[in-house]
Amino acid sequence: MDVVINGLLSAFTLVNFLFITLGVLIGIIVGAIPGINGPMAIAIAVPLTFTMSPVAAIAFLVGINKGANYGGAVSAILLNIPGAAEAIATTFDGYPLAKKGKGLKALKMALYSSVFGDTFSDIVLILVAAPFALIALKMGPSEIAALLLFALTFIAALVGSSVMKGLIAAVLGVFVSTIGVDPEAGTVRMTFGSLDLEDGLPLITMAIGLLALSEILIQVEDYVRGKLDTRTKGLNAFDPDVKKEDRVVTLAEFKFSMRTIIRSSAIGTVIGAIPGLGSVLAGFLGYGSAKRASKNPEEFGKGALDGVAGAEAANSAVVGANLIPTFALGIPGSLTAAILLGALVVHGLTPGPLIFQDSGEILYGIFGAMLIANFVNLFLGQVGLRFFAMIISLPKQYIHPLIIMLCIVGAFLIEQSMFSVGLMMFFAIMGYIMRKLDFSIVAFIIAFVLGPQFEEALRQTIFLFGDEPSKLLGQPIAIGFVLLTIYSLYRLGFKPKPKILQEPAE
Amino acid sequence: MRQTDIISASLIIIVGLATIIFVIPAGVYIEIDGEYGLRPDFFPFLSMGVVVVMSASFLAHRLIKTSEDGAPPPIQLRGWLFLLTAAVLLVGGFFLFKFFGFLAGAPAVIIAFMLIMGERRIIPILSVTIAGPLVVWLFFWKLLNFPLP
Repeated sequence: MDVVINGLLSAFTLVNFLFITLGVLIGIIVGAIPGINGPMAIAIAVPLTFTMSPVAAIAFLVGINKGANYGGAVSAILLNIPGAAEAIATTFDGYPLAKKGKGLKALKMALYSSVFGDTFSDIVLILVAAPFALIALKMGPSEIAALLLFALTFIAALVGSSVMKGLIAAVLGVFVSTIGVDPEAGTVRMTFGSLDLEDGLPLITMAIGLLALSEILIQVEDYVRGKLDTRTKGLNAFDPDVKKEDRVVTLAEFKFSMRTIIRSSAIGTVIGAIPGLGSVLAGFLGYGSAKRASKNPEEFGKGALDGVAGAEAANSAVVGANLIPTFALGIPGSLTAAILLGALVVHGLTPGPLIFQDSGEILYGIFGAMLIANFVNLFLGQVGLRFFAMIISLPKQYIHPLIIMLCIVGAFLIEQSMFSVGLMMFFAIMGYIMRKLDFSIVAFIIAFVLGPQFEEALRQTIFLFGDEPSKLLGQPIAIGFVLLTIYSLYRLGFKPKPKILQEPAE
Repeated sequence: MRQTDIISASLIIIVGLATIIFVIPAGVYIEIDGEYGLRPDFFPFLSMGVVVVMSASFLAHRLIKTSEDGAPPPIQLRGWLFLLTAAVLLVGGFFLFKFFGFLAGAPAVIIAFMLIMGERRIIPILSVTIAGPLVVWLFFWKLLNFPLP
C-alpha cells in the first residue's frame, strides 16, 4: 500500500506538472490538426524524453495521447473532419451543432465527457492492473505462449479490412523482430555484419517511419493530386452573435447527459482493455448506445448534445484501459500502447507482470501523472479553445515539411546515428506501400513488439514439453487460449466482418 | 483490388521463399547444434514459412474469387512516380544531413517538400525554412544539449 501511495504522490512535482502540461498541449494541437494523430506525435516525441525521469517521460507521452484524443474532437466539430479516426462518431452530432451556432457548446461537452471518460478508465486501470498482473505471474511459459498467440491472431484479425492481410502483416512483424541476437544461444541473426542491427530493429525508429512519415507522404501525395482540401474553413464557434446559452454547457445539460457519459465510459473501458479493438469502435458503440437509450433518438445526427457526449466519453475511456494489458501482461492493446511500451523500455522499465514488483513506485507515479493529465486537459481545453479552433486551418504545405524534418531529427536522436534515419526512411516507404495495399501497420507493429516474448515463451515451452508433448494437455489455460485462437480465427476469418470493425484501430 | 492482391501476394511469396532459401541460411550463423532447445534459425524459418503459406492461401482465395470489384489499383503509375520522387528527396536529404549536417539538410528537405506541395511564395518558404530548423536547433542543441546530425 505504501508503494501505491508513495508512487501516486511522487507524480505531484512541479517538473512532472510542467511536462504533463506540455504533453497535453502538444497533444491537443496535433489532435486538432487533421492528418496528424496521437501515435504519430508520441513516436516523434519519444527522443524528447531522454533526459526526463521515467515518470515525467511517460506522463509527458501519455499527456500527448490524452490531449490528442480530445483534440480530434475540435476539428470533428468545427470542420466535420475528424482530427483523428476515433473522433469520427463525434462528427455525427458535433458538426450539426456547430452549424446551428452551438459549436462552443459542443466543444465544451466534448471536453467534459472526454475528461470524464479518461478519468474513469484511469481509475479502473489503477484498480485492475495489479490484480491482473498477479494472475499473469502465475502463468508458465506454455500459458504465456498460448496467450500471446491468441493476442497476436486476435489483433491481426481485427484490425484493417482483411483478416488474411492482417495476419500476414502480423507474422511479417514477428519475422522482422527476429533480426538481432537470438534470445537463447546469443547468436546474431540476419544482421549481415551490421553492428547497428545487433540489438534488433529499434521500435521507435520503425514507428516514426511506418506511422508518421508514411502517413505524411500519403497526405503530401493527396495534396499534390488535389485530393486533400486544405482550404477548408472551420465554422466560427466564437461569433459574437452566438447567444450566451449556446456558448456553455449548463449544469442541467451536463446532468442530463451524465447517464450517457457514464455508460459510454464503461463501454470505452471494456473495449480499451481488449487488445486490438481500439477507440474508433468505442466511439461508435458509445454513440450507438446513447442513441438507443435516448428518448429522442430522431434528434441524433441533427445536433444532439448527448451524441457528442456518448462518442467522446467512450473513445477517451479507451486511453487508460488500453494500458491494462500493456502494464499487466506486456501486451500492447493499440499502437499508442506499443509505442509507450517501447518508451518504457528506453527508460529502463520492463512492462509485464513483474513491473509492479520491480518498479511499483514508478508505475504508480505514472498512474498519478495520468490523473493529473486529465485535469490539465480539462483546464487547457477550456482556456485554449479559441486557439485550438484557430489552428485547425493551418496550411498543410507549412506543417507537413516541418513534420518530415521532425521525423528525421527524431529518428537520429533515438540511436544518435544516421543509420537509424536511413532505417526510418526505409520503413516510411514500406509503410506507404503497406497502407496503399491495405496491409495493417497496427498488426505489424504490435506483432513486432510481441514477437520476442512469443519466441522466448515458445522456446521455453518446447524445452519443457518437447520430450512429452502430451503433458501440454494438462495445461488447461494454455489449451483454453489455443482453442480461443482457433475459434476467433474461424469466427473472424470465415464470417463477414461487421462494418464497424473495418475501421482502423487507431 | 483483386489484381493488386494477386500481385502483392505473389511478390510476398517470391520474397518469402528467397528469404527462406537464401537470406536466413546466409544470415544466421549456427556454431553447433545444441542438444536441447531450438536452433537460432528456427523462429525466422517458422515465421517466414507461415507468411508464405498464408500468402499462398490468400493468393488462391483471390484467384478463385473471379469477380472484380471494379476499384482502381491502389497505387497507379502516378503513385509510383510520386513515391520515387519522395524517395529521391528523402535519400538526398539523408546525404545532406550526413555530410553537411542539420543546418544544411533540414532547410533543403523543407524547401523541397514545400515546392512539391505547390508553395511558390518566397516569404512563407523563407519563414518556414528558417524558423522551423532554427527552433529545433536551439531546442535540441542549445537547450537540451542533444547532438544533431
